[in-house]
Amino acid sequence: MKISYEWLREYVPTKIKAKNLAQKLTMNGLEVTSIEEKAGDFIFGIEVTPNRSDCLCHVGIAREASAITKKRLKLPSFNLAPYFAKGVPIPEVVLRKAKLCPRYTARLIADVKVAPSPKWLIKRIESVGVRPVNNIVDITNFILHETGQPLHAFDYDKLIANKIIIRLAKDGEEITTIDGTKVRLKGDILVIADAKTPVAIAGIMGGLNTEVGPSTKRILLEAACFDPTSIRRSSRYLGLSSDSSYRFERGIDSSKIIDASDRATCLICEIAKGKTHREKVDVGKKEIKTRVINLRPHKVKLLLGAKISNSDIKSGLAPIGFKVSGAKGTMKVVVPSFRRADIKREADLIEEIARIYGYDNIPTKLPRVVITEEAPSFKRRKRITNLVRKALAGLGFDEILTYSLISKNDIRKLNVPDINTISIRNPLSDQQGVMRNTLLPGMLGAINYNINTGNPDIKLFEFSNIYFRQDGDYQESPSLALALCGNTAGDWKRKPQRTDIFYLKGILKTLFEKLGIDIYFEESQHPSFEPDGTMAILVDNKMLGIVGVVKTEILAKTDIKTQVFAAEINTRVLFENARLEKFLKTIIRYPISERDVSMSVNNDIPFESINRAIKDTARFIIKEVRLVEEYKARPVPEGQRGLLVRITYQSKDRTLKEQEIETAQDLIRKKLTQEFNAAIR
Amino acid sequence: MKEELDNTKEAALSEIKNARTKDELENVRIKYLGRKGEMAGIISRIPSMPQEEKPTMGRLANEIKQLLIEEIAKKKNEIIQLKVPPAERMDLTMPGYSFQIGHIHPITRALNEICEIFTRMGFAVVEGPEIETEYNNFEALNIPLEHPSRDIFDTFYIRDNLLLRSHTSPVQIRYMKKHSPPFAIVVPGKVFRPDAVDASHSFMFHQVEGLMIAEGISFAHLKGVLLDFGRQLFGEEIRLRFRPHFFPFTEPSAEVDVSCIICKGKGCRVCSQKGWLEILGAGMVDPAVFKAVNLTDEKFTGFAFGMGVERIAMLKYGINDIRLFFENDVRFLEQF
Ligand SMILES: [Zn+2]
Repeated sequence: MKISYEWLREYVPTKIKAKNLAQKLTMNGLEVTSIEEKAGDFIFGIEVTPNRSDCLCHVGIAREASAITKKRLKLPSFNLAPYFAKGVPIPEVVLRKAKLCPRYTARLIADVKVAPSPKWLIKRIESVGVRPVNNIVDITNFILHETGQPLHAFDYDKLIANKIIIRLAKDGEEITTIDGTKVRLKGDILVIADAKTPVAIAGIMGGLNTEVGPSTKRILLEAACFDPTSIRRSSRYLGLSSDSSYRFERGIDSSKIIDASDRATCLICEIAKGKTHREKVDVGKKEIKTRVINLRPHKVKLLLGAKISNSDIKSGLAPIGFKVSGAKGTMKVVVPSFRRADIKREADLIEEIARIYGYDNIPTKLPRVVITEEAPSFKRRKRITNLVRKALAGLGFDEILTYSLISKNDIRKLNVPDINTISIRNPLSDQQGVMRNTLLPGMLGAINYNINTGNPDIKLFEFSNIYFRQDGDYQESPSLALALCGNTAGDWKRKPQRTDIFYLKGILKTLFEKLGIDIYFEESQHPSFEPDGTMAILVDNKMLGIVGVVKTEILAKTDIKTQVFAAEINTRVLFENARLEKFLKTIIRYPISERDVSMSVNNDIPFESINRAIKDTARFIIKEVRLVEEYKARPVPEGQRGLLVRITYQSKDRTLKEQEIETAQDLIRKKLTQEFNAAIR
Repeated sequence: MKEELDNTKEAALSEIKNARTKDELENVRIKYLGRKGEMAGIISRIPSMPQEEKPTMGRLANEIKQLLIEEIAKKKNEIIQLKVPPAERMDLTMPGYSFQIGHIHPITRALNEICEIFTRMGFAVVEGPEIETEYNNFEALNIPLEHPSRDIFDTFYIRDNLLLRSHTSPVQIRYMKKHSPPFAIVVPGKVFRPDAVDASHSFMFHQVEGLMIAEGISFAHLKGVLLDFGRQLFGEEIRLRFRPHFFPFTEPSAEVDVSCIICKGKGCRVCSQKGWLEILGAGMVDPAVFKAVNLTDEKFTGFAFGMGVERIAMLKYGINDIRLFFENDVRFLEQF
């Protein structure tokens, strides 16, 4: 909201510099976010919080400034009496919806001469960004920015039957507003109507037909109070808002309606040469009960942690309009009418006391420690999550963060089922229309981005939530995804190498070893991965995740022109199976012996079968079986491959004899020949 | 014979010295000390020498033999240690091999750092769902449906009464319903608001919420805890400024500024010449919130605070565009 420093000083005769005043207002909770110098004046941009509807005008800010500067508030005085005339009629007003319009006043001003406003008035309203129209409209705008009371002037002679009815709109009723738009109304919108049609959307905007123009002779000046919720609902429904609706939504001071109306009438009569009847129309609730709140001074001290005395409380509250009585025990505080919307409870008063006392003057203390325990299951998840992040970073993977909201198309592109996705009812665009049920789209997006910006060698992971519907329920759970493409790091000594699926398998093996999970792989299927390039990651027969070569067709759809290898981990299984507790396994000190077996086998025999066959042959003395080399180029028959396997022998309880090892080697060779038709070389 | 022994010794020592591999050394050993080696040849001729020379020559031959055995053993060790002795001097100015290490995302780093500071103060980390009820996100936090205070909380809806939380505050409600004071918690997490993306807005971002409820907790304690936090996060020299503000779920409420960490409060571009940077919102828990969770014992009071993690990370790491966090450019990620 814009406030003119010069205008403000009409009500507070202070010499405080604009910048200092801005600073002080800010520290009083009225944050001045900008100061603009304009023709010798300073225009403050003030962020008024929704509770401070009283500060949406110059008088309101002046009241705060008066308390800050300790200068008396000087409200404008006026005298309507000279403009009273007998011949002016009293308009007819029918209030049908007193609940939505607690008070409605109207005054008829006759013989007005509609013309441009005087310079001083134009300057005032222009300073707060209001465009001048004519003297009548300008005065209503001026009063709104002075007092916060919205006013509306109708051309009285254009009101059918010279009548005002405050009623609900009929479904489908239409009105063209002063900005020229045709608005279709519905049954719960409050309107101001004449005998036939709506002439204004109550509290929001006037109609074009009854607008005050050069030919206007008699005006009906409306000053009213509308129900904030109703105004807000209508304003939102119609997508229409105005300076008036903004103030009505936040609540106005209904006890100051008459003052505002009279002051405006006075200005109109003076500037536009009008006259009015002594009587005005005033329907609805006229008396508002004053609010008295009990305030316990010890509660103030306790809640703020400051030694605030009773006189501090009194001298703090008085300048901003509160009347405080009683000293011992409980004080009684009378809330001024302009703060009714905001100050309802003791806590609200304590806030006012703290604000005026100054947050800076409240001491800074440390509380006694309140040690709070985290849920054990959460602590465990947190530890595992941190460990995964650190381990993967250690293995050269960069952590990414991608949006949880993506497009349905992103999911479809990956061939991932989208029937269980959660849709957003009011998305910003289709690009963020659903919640992701997989981390892969974000992964591929990041890969694509980096390839396009000249970084084709990428290793990424993300550990974030995915979302899905399950049994009619909305679920969210953390997921872990990894992906890589391009080359490994190289240098002058070691040439970079093309990454492949085995690189990722190795990463996963290392990662899960760190987490105490002994994983193994089995061939599997996944809609996003190549049918012959997909492995399930298992632990104790439980599916821990999936790893594979991303399908070429998917990469084509995401504009990636290189192979991508990816894995997605089910973190529920991860959390359940991780073993964080360390317990030393005895180091076996008996000597180890290594023996190689070189063979050629048919291509369709998986290494894993050979591996298991070897281990099963001499389980108790084999420590490890390692694939040293796969060779195809050397003389190996067509359709076969050569495998060089190194077996490490070690016993847990003795030194192995040369002969035992040789026997085992013989058995292994025999078994490989029999089971896999391997040719031992 | 003495001369022959001396020559053999010199030749053998020289060849031992020049041997570069284990194999070469072995050949030298066989040549001089083998069963048919040169030393064996000389020694086999000693018995046919004059009687008076025999002992001297015998002793000398044995001494040389022993010397060669020792020298070969010594050389063997050297070869093992060196493996292949460099043929030429190395160019040590050539770069070391390159290794790759990954990076933790700056938001994760900031989240962890913030939570760890509070954990050290005794706070527990608590999480809550991102898909939240309208009641927990709004009504229970004293944000009525038809009220302007809801304007700043535009929200993504999934269906009636179910939404993506627009702040982490609903976790306050969930926690207070299940636990009795005293307690102190921090809640990290993602939040969502339908803001079009630009340099300072994002429809998804992260917050850390704090809540401390105990007997006699006051605004002064809120100031103390946040000052300690601010110092740990931004450095001992920073100052905090508490400005009155309005939040529906706290009363009194404050916006908290930190003295600009770039210019130390003198005024610069980052702080728009103000010397202060807004970093969080805070206040004393509003009685309406206590009522919503049925915490009616008035002796318990408490404070709550909330901060935007992207904002903190941007200030702390000098990042000027919020979109960088979600673009995942490796040139960005690799700086953390
Ligand atoms: Zn600065």
